[in-house]
Formats: sequence, C-alpha cells, structure tokens
Amino acid sequence: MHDRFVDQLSEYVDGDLAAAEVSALERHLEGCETCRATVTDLRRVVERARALPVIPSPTDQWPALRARLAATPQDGLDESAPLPDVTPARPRVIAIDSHPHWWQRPLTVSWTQAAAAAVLLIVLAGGGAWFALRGVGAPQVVDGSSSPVAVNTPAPTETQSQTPPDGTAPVSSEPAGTPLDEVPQRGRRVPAGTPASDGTMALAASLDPRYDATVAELRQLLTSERSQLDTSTVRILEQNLAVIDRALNEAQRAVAKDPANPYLRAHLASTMRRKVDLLRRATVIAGARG
Amino acid sequence: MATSDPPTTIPPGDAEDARRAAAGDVRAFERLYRAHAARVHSLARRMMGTEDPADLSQEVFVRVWRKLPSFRGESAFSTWLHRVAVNVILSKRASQKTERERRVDAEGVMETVAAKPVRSDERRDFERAMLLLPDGARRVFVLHDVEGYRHEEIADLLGVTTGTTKAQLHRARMLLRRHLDS
Repeated sequence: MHDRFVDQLSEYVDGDLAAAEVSALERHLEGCETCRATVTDLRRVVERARALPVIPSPTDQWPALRARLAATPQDGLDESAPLPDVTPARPRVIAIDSHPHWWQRPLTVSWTQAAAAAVLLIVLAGGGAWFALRGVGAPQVVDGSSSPVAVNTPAPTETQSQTPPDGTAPVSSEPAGTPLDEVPQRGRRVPAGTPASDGTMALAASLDPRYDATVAELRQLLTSERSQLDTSTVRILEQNLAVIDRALNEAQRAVAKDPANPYLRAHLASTMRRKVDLLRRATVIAGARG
Repeated sequence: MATSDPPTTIPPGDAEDARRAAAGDVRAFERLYRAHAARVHSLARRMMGTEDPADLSQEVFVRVWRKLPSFRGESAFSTWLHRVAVNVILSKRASQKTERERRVDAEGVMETVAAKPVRSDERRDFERAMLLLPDGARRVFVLHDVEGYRHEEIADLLGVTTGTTKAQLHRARMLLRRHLDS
C-alpha cells in the first residue's frame, strides 16, 4: 500500500494525478512522515533541475564547425510552401510576406501586370534557354522531369530523396522555369559533357551577362512598380537584396579560389537563384498591387 | 504617439539571421550558433551523459545548417533548433549504445548516484549525479525537468508510452533526491 503511494509521488508533485487519487494520497500523507519528506525532496529536485544553467563548451567550436559547413550543402527550398513567416511584430524582414498572398487576391490584370508578366516570361525563358544551350552537349534528364532547367554544376549520379527526421517539411524539387538552379544534392540533370572540363562554370555563370541582364530587367520592373509598395517594404526589400549581394560576393570569391569545388559552385548558383527569385516575387507582388 | 523605426545598427534577431543563413549567409549562421551553442552543448552533455559532447553539438548545427531552408518559421527559431537538436541526439543514441550502457549494471549506477555529495559545490554534484543516471531515466529527466517537455512529447520522441516516461522520471528523481544537501 505504501509503495503504491510512493510510486505516485512524482505525479502528485507535477499535478498529474486525478482528483480521487490526490485525495487518497493526501490522506496517506497526513499519516506518513516518510512520504511527506519524499514529496519535499522531489520538489527540490525539480526546482534544482529547472535552475540548472546552460554550460558553454570549454572550447570555441566555431572554426571546426565552419570547416564542416563548407562541405555541407544546404537542402533545397520547398517552393510549394509559403515562405517562412518569421516577420516579428515590427516587420523587419521581407515585409512582402506579411501581405496577403498575391494568389489569394481577386484576379484583376492591369496593363502593367500584363507587361510585367510578359517581360518576366521572356527573361526567365531566355535565361533558362541560355543556360541550357551553353552547356557542353545536351543535358540529360535524370529523373524524367520535363523542366527546361539545366544544371551547370557536376551533379551526383543519383537523385537523392531526403525526408528530415526532425519534423520539418520534406524537401521538394526545385521549381521549373528558374534560370538558375542549384545542386549538387538535388541531381535533377547531369551535363553530358565532362564536368571537370568546365571547372569554372559556376564562376563564369556568376559573371554572365545573361544573369546580369535578368537581374537588371527585374530591377527595372521593380523600379517601375515600386510605387505600389509601401516604403517600409521597399526598404526591407533593399536590405535583403544587399544581404544576398554580400553573400554573392563571398561565394564568387570562394569559387574563384577553388573553382573545382562542387559545393562552392552549387552555393554560388543557389545564391544567384535566390536573388532572381526574390526580385521575381517582389515584382509579381508589386504588379498585383497595381 | 508613433514610435520611430529602430536604428539600423540593431543586430538582426534570430528570425532574420535564420532567413539570411538559409540563403547561405555564414556570418548570420555564426551569430545563430553563438547565440544558441551553449544551450545545445548543455542539452547534448546532459542527454548523452558525457562531459564533452563537442562532436555531437557540431553535428546538431550541421543538421540545422542543412535544414534551414526548410524552416518555415511556424515556431520560434530557438524552438525549432531545440527540436532538431533533440532529434539528432536521440538518433545518435539509437544508433550507438554507449559503452556505459553495455558495461554498467543499473544497480551499480544507482548506488553511485545515491551516494551523498562530498563536495560543497552542490550544483556541480547534481550535474554529475545526473550524468550517472541510467540512460532511460536521464533522458526523460533532462527532457521533462530541465528542458520542460511534456510526457506526451517525450513519449512521442522516444517511441514509448507516457506510463514509461512517468516511471523513468520518478526513478530519476528518487535517485537524485539523495544528492540534495541536507
């Protein structure tokens, strides 16, 4: 009988017992000094545990971690999902995400929207075609996708499917129609030519006039539509572009130092694609507000 | 009265750094690392029962780096990171049984833990006693009493019932109470 109550003491301390069990246990506690002392101790253990401080590592692990990150490509974005809603109460980042999604708004097409869409299609299709055509030989489809996207980095020979065990969203494939693509872990297409024969391809792509022209045209579109965005959104957009530009510069420098490194080249291509993607989203939203 | 915008010199918060890091910004990731490394280190140390889990802490952040692009911001970054850390640590445990788990019988550990502390540094003794708990009891104790997880969450993480987690928690507390100063 006593042991049964002892076994319930932690749940009693946590308030997890049913009312009837609490009543029975408290009647027992009135006559059992040992159990009363145990309850007191258990509460102290809980308090002690809650008050434990964090224990920093005795050594700085960042340099070693940084080295590991250089060889660890990030998983691709799940483009079918909305962007993370990480905007705090005072919008500081990508305020365009705090607005209703453009596809949730009534569809009304102005001439500016039509023009934006047309130019966007031309730019993206042109970019995609250019990337497809400039590869060494025709790209081979690995997974049967009909996407016109070509990858300018040496891809692994098999498509990897990754399902995070941590409860995060599964990773989807890259979207079609984006002039810049990233791998290596996605592995959608493999250039038919020898990858090593084009060791500086990612770097060349970063300096490519087609990419610059794409960005320039999207920026021009955005400039013409920026009056449709509030000033804080424009400011935040510019801040994010500046962040991406800095990352782009770093990536270009890293590839210049180690042009054969597939991870660096994939990272550079990824960063370029993100910039185009950010500009593309901004122009679409601005157009939808026109 | 309207408040003015914060000065641009304010360091970016976790949310913004997570966004930047997801775009490949290593400096933003370093800020996240430095802000949360100690907590991850503590968690790994206590969950694994080892004094220096540096490799495991790194593994957690490598996983976070990889998965950042899929972070949807549906919870605070710190919450998401903590969940990733717990999963990495638990998967590590599942894939490698520790030497201690194989070699030391539970009763021996219980006696070791139950010994009265001889040092005046109670907190350190309490930490050491925690490290010596049987693995199952320690994991539940750390997750519940130190990290604040609920039994249902712990049971889900460990693939056991809440009855098991409650029994393990009680066992851990009963052992640790003997390490309280009188």
